[in-house]
Amino acid sequence: MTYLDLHAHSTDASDDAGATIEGYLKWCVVRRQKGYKIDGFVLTEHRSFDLKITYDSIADKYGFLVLKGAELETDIGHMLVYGLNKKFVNHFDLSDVHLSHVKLIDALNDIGGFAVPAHAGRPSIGMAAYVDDNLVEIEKIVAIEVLNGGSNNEENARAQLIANKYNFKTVGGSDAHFVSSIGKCVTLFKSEIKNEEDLVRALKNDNYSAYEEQSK
Amino acid sequence: MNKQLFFSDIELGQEFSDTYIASSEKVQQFLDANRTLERTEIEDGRFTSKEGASTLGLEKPILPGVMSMSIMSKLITDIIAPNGKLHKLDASFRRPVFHDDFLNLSALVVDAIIEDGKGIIKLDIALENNRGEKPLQGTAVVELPTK
Amino acid sequence: MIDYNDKVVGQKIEFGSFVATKDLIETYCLSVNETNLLYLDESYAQKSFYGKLIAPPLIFVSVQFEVELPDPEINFGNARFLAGQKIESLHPIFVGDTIRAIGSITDVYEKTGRTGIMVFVVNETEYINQNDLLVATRQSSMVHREVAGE
Repeated sequence: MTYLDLHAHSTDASDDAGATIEGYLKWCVVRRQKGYKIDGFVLTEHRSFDLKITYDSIADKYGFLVLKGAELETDIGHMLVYGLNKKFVNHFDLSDVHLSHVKLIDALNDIGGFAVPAHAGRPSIGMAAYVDDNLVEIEKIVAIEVLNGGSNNEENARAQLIANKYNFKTVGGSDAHFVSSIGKCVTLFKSEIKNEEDLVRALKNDNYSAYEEQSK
Repeated sequence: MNKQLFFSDIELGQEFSDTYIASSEKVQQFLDANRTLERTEIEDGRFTSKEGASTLGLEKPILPGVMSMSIMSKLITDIIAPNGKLHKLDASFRRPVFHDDFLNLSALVVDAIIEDGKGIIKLDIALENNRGEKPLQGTAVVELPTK
Repeated sequence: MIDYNDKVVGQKIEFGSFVATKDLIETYCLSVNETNLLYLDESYAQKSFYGKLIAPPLIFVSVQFEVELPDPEINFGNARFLAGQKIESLHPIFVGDTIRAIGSITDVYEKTGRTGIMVFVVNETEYINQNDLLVATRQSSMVHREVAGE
């Protein structure tokens, strides 16, 4: 089993973040010592993706997994994207805040990537704001983020209702911008995940669900 | 004044807290602090009147963001006083703080390292209102003396 | 794409100066319930490491200058708010110090949030004392957005 926080931002690339990768890793150690389940996290920086950077060395130092994705802005709210490559990054202007979710998902399917509507229950930037107006290509969505550490209970509940209605799988992510938020919400995967390929394979085919532990 | 905290007194996960009531009187005091200078602030009255605030869709007048940050900095300087140093204070203003909001201030130790011989502490900071919302979140980097 | 006057990005402006007077410090401290004796008690401060009264490290954020940054003429939104600040405190500001401020707009960008589209204007300011010592820096981010006013 793997407990992964699928949604985090760092000072490396997100303008509103106040945490470094090493800061997050040190806090993951603290969380584990307190009994929380966390095996790693995915950096989903706002509107950007660095093809070259790798966090394997620092992740190994602390005994956690650090993967890369991105949080992009689309016509149905924000989306977390995983399994990105050069072809994808060259094709899309990641700083565009009006990307087509359909084109995004099709392009990701083409390269072996995966997209998840982020904080699905939030107004304006969550999928919930677009579903009722039939603006979402529902058949292209497999999983949505129903547990987001930055959303309130009402917003998370709204996302869960949508997941129930359309039988989407669910993921959890802290949406951490600061060190102490990492791991607040995670996704529990039945399989072991060691890299981005494993992550995408698991998201497409595995059993998984959003997971949040009570305060210890 | 509080007793001096030293670097060795600090543990990861240690939390400091304080409270503050954002009264209209306090807001006016803050705005008056530079009364000797010509003012070029935003003149829409958002900080001082219900009418001014309503033009921006706000139900009540609000605190200047820099005042919220100053309130937060007071907690930090309390932690480090008298011989510690504040190096950095970063804040994101996520929601307005309204007049008369009761604020809980918190600073959580997320790292403690010796850097160039100095005791450096990193804190996650937040200001939470009585509705459970966090209008301000951020980080601080301070230096505490070593024994 | 944001419509704005990009010629103002990078233009350095001297905003003016202020003196860190006892009065300014005391009023600021009163407003935020600050009681630190280093800022308020002369005899305590004289015996301290600093040798005299110092100002709270964020004293300059309360100061409004006569001169403002050039208007980037953002063609979006009907209101602007302060979105974020990053302060670096490099040296203490002593009572009686004259501090001048010099800054510029450094970035303009767009993103979406709970309230819809937002345009951010980032500026950076340096605070320099009478001895030409850089005592602090500040990066501020203003957000422009649409609000439903009354």
